[in-house]
Amino acid sequence: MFDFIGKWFSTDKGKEAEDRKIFMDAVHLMLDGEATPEQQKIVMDKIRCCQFSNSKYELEKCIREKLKSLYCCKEMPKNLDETILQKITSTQI
Amino acid sequence: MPYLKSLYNFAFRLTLDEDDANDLVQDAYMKAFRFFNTFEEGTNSKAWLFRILKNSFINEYRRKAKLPGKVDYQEVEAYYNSDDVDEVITPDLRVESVQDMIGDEITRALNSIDADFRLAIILCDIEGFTYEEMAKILDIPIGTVRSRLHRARQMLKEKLADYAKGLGYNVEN
Repeated sequence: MFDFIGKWFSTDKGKEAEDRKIFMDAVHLMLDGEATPEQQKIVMDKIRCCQFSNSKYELEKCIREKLKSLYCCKEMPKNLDETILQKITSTQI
Repeated sequence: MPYLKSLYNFAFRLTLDEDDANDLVQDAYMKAFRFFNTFEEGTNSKAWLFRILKNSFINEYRRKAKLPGKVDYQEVEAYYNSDDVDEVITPDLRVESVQDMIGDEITRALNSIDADFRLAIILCDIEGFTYEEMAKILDIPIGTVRSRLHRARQMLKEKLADYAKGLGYNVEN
């Protein structure tokens, strides 16, 4: 019984917060292409067995994909390349 | 013209103005041509061009536009460095709410965060530079790249959570 009470008042919540931070750091590193194999394993193991972790991972991935798809849509002014070439050429003369 | 589209996109996201972006890109290429001898062969030419453009932006456009001075990073980082930040401040944003957002909300969210943080997201999440390349472009240590990215993403998520609430999604923690 005292073991049970001991566990109830243990610092598991503190460890949980720390584990979450480690997991999220690893998620960012993995999506940035900077994660070590160990960090990638942390992420993959976690998302396989924890729905909450999986949803956090999917959210980060979704935001980046959305940003990338929107960002690429800005239309460049026509003839910008010609304008630049002209300027460079005129400085050479 | 190498990387022209990427550079223009980058310039536009920094200046938020088409004409200014146009001028900034032209200026960057002129400087690249003029100082080509400073480029180290074998290194990332795209990162080099981005660095030139970023420096031009800092030197010219901030001064001209009389934008607020550099962000007080100590203040921002102290705010986001709190142990409670991930528990209290990070909104419970959902994939569905982000997917349902149209482009305007997301670009508005990105454009509303400070240029230095916006820059970090653009370079990493959109242009795909490595942390090392970002450190060279921004002229900051790699550790600062990581912490700035972390803060920028927190800020972006907060903004997106506000929009999601506006769309009727429940984003309570």
